[in-house]
Amino acid sequence: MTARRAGLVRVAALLVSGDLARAEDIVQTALTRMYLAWSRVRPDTVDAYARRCVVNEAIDERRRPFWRRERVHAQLPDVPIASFADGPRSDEEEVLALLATLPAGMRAAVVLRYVEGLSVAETADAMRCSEGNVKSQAARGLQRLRDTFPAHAHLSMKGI
Amino acid sequence: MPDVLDVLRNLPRAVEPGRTDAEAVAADVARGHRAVADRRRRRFAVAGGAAAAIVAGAAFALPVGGAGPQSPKPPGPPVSAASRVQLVGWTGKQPVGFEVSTVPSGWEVVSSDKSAFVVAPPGQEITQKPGDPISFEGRIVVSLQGLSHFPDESPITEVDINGRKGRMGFPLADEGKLSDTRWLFFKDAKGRNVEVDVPASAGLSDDQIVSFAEGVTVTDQAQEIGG
Repeated sequence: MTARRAGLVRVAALLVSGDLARAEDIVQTALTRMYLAWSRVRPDTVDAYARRCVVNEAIDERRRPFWRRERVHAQLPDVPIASFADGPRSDEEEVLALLATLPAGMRAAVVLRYVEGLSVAETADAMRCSEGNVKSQAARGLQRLRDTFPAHAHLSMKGI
Repeated sequence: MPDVLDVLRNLPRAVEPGRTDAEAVAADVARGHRAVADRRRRRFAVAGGAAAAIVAGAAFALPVGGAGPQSPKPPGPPVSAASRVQLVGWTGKQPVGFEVSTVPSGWEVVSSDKSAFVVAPPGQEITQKPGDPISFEGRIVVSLQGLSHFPDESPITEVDINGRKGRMGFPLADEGKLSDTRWLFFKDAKGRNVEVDVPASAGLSDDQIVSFAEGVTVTDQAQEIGG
């Protein structure tokens, strides 16, 4: 459980652009759902089931009305933009930030296929979609990252 | 300039590791226990929809199908926790999943199917549409144990149920706070784990709960409801 938990939090964090607090929330909710469904979980599919719960939770979180609503503030938040405040970022930080610009499903396909190294079938199982959809989403997501990564990396190198 | 694919493969190193300490895992398990307890307390989806037999009005105190050798006592006034209720013999049609020999006097069957046997105290609204969720709140429930487990905070009393060991304790009502509902877990003659939930408002003593549990027989049709 301990070793699996670390992997689940990592996947969740990648799906929410490295936000560890949200990743913890997602994993906690996913594990609770899994606990409630434990009698239906086969021992040989525990890992896949847990991963599916996390992916669903991460994707569903963005679908909730709370996230869809525009949030109104009386004043502009005084938050520094990372690239201005922190100077140049590493390639990994750049790509992590770019992942956030992808639609949730596309991001999940990219993370599960290219970061976690799952097969197309395993990714389709985790996302509960067809293998064709996984191939399409992953390929398009990767292309979008390739299109934007050089430009971002260039700007980041200059500290802009 | 590295390829995006290579950067993606190295991405796990850019993410802070999540908590894997024993405390975090224990908290996960405690959340699971609470969720199971909450689900049990609030409601459960009636297995089989219309198969849920609603026997509203077939009060224990009013024998179904005529008086038998175990004729229950006549109905009395509403029972409160302060005044001890009496267990009376069950003479109605036996439930599908869980047969019982006694029930608290005056209590009525809300549902009896493969998932659970649920009885409500006198005066409680028990009208129920087939397929609707059934509340466990304030009701005695007999089911298979499923995922229910005593929280660490609960004191455990060991009891004897037909010569087999039973354990009585309390679920969590909220984080760090025990419910006043009593849970009794015991194995039946076939080794299946049975659970009896009795709210404090039932006014049953521990001995009465044991006596009630001794009259429970799990049939082959009984199914777990997962929690």
